[in-house]
Amino acid sequence: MQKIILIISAVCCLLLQSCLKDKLLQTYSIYTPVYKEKSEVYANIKSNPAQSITAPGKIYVYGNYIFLNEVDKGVHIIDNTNPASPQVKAFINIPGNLDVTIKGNTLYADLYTDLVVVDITNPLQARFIKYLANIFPARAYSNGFVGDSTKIIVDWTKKDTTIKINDYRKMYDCMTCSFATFSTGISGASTPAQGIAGSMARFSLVNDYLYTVNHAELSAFNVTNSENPVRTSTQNLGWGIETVYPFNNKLFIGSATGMFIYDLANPASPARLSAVNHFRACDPVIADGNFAYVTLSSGTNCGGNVNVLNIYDVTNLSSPVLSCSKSMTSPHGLAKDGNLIFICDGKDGLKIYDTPASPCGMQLVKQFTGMETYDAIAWNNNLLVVAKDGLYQYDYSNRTDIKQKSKLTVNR
Amino acid sequence: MKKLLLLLIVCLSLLNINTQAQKKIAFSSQNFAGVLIGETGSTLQLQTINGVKKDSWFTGVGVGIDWYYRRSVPVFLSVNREFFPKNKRSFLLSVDAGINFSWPGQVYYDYPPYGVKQKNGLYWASGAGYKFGVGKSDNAILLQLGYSYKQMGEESRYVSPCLIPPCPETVTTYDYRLKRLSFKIGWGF
Repeated sequence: MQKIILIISAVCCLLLQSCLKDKLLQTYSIYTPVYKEKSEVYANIKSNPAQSITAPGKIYVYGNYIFLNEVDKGVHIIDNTNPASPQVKAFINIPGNLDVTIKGNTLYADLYTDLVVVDITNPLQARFIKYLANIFPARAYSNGFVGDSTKIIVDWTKKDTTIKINDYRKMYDCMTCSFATFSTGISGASTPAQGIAGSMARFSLVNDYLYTVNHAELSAFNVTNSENPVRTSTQNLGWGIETVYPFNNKLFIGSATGMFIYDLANPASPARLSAVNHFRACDPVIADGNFAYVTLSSGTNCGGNVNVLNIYDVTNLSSPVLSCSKSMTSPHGLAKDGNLIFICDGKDGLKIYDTPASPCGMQLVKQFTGMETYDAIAWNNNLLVVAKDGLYQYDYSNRTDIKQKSKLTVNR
Repeated sequence: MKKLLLLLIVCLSLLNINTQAQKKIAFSSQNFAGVLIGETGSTLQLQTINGVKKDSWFTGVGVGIDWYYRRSVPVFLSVNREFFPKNKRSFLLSVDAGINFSWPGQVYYDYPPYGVKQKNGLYWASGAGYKFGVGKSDNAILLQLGYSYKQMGEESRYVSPCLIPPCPETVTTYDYRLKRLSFKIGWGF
């Protein structure tokens, strides 16, 4: 029997030796673009039946309507006559869209690299007017993917793939196997008179001029004839331009490395008044009276390692001075109405501060948690907040009892 | 592989010969150091298994450190049995099974914009060995040759830069199934 045990052991060992080959598996997603002919895409830029909100982007308020960007897909038209019960009424299909702004009955939106003009005399019967090609050439895809320029990508199909890795050293070389998927974000919306944009906007409408920024350029368009925008100037601002916010005939531009102030004395060609530098971070900016508010957020998206609200004294627009910095968790968009400052602090939710004396003496009066917030618009005691899980609205008419009015839930 | 494991378990269960009967359940400990040899080379392993012994059977809970490819901590249930005891010497067959816990930080790349989440996996081992009794007590030197399998993984997320969060994520998962020859020497009592 002792021999039997020895034989069994020996056989087992021999058999097992043949099974000493490691198995290393890598699973990743391959995204394949779905193309449509340009003519077909333009024909579909109109008010289509309402769709579920799945990836909410930037917001724009115009009258009783909310225009909510569906990232890279288009714009939801939401009837907000009753903020306690907003109704999604229609969807305008604009592939590659991130930003909108509105002048009168005309909506301007980006379609990947193009600027499209849409008639919204009746928002529920929007119709395509025209497009201006290659206005935002900075739009690009990750991992160097280059699409078919004769067509437009309207969607992506996703397929998970598992492969066996034969060489240990190739494990991370193959990170780039999952090629291009989504476009890198760019664009925005804003306007003082007729509509209100969030602080993350890359479009801004001031009187008869539309201003847009891409990652490096500021462009001005004369929209006196709203259906026929004419570009009047384009100037290079340097690297990492992110947002543009109009205030008091000035443009406050947020970049990854600082804040720029441009004068609109000549609206066709804005002139730089000043610039301040800060640590590398994402930084939407708003302004109010003598102060500009810049949230700096870092992390995987933005680089850097700073998460603060910087408040600048811009009494002298030619020489902004940092008044104070307030520590935050991961601040993104922000809004201000009167003495209240609303800050979307990422996973820390929405923070509401009161500034009874000066902005630097701000006191936290309310915090809503349990959501990941990105951008906000505060107007007429109604606060709109875009979060990962939906579009929230709050009533802040009573500052000691700020209440949630409604939520449009995201259906992922 | 599963068939071989089953075969060893059957061997342990069915063979019942010439065992030196012991009368009571007693605490027992086995502590090993050894090497693991596989495709990526040879690395160190350390294990301690503590449990109870009755007659020729031993069962216990083991924990170890396994440096093969990615350092990890296997936690497992171990069963082994002695055969042909003679002059305080005997043959051993053993089977271990449990969970292989990834060692924190043992990933290929974990810096922004990448983020890595480690995953645990199955661990099992089987082997045959020899026990040399030392002195008058139950102390013994243990030699064991066998096969060891561990599984672990990583989920790597790359967040593409964008202005409007949530930024697009690319998720890549890695599943490592590692098969090694195990040789270990230890001390038991």
